[in-house]
Amino acid sequence: MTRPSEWQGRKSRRRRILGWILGIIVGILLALLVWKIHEMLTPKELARRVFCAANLSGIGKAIILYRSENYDLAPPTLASLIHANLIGPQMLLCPSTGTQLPVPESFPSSSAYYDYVCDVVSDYIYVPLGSVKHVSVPEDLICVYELPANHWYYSVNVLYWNHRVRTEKNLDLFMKNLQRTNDYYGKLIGTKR
Amino acid sequence: MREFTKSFIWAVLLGFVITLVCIPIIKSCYEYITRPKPFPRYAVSYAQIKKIADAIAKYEQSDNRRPDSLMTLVTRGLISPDDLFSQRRRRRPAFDITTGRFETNPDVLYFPGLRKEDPARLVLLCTIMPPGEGNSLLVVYNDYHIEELPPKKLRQAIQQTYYQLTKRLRTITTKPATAKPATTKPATTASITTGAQKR
Repeated sequence: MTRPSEWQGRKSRRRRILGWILGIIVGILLALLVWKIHEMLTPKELARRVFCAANLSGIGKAIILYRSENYDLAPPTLASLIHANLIGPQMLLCPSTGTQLPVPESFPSSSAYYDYVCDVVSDYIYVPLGSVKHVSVPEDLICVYELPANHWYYSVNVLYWNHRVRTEKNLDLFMKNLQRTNDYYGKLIGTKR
Repeated sequence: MREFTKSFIWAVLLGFVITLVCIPIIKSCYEYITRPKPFPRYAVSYAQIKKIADAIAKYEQSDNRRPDSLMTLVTRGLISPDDLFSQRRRRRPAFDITTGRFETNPDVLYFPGLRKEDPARLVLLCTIMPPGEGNSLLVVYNDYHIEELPPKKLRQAIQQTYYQLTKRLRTITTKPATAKPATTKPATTASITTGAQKR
């Protein structure tokens, strides 16, 4: 026979153990919930890469629009697209690099600001081959690209003159296409010398 | 009931803190194990790029123009094919006789449209992958000056080079046409036409 005081002690010990077990489970669940919410709010590298490809796609569409209004000539610089209100300056930044736009108020004019963004701040390189009169550009040449450092040498997003965006994971192939684009410049300048 | 509530609150706090500490550790371990392999960083070294730049300078002195491609330097014997590829590659890419090129591009980017009289700070040769463990990339400027640049600075230099090349192309295409015809018939066409005329 157990005495009432002994029985009371066992009961309170059981309650304490139950409290600890239930508490730890609830604590873990709460922590997982907090972590999941935090993860949902911060974009991952893959999302950034897709965002970057979407930027290039937007630039490609803007170039098509620009050409339709400018005798089929592509813009001389990407700043021309911003001036024409076809893209915003934010589209010239790759989300993976974490580059920030400067404050527009620190520039004397909006034109100077856009030129600075295109020449200094932007993460993309524009090959303005299509902006030259009487020059036909093969569609498989590169129009806009980024350096592989933007995505830690895993891949590069490239916009071609046929307005398709490709994520190149084979950087050897990317180098080959890029050299072909440079060679085309050499060929045009060389033959017309 | 008081014992239950007291131990429950302490356990919730303990479980919450331990899980929050453990999650990043477990996550980083998992990401490290399952991470995709980045593309190997193939780039020519400082010594190699210097050799290529010297070869271009030599070619320019003798021919009074820059080579059309880096392969011209190889065929001239000014550099060896091994100078165009990273030493990290296990083997040199095979040479394709039909195209006269290697199966992969050399590990250095060349801008053949540039001329000596163009601005000195334009890019003549560069690597788009870092040759070492760091993040800096090698650049040979138009005046044959070699420098290591961070990717951001290289991007600016390449962009300026494209602007300059386009500017030059624009001046060439807008020049009035000279008396000389734009195209000349190849030698083979002439012999074919004469054959047809005879018939």
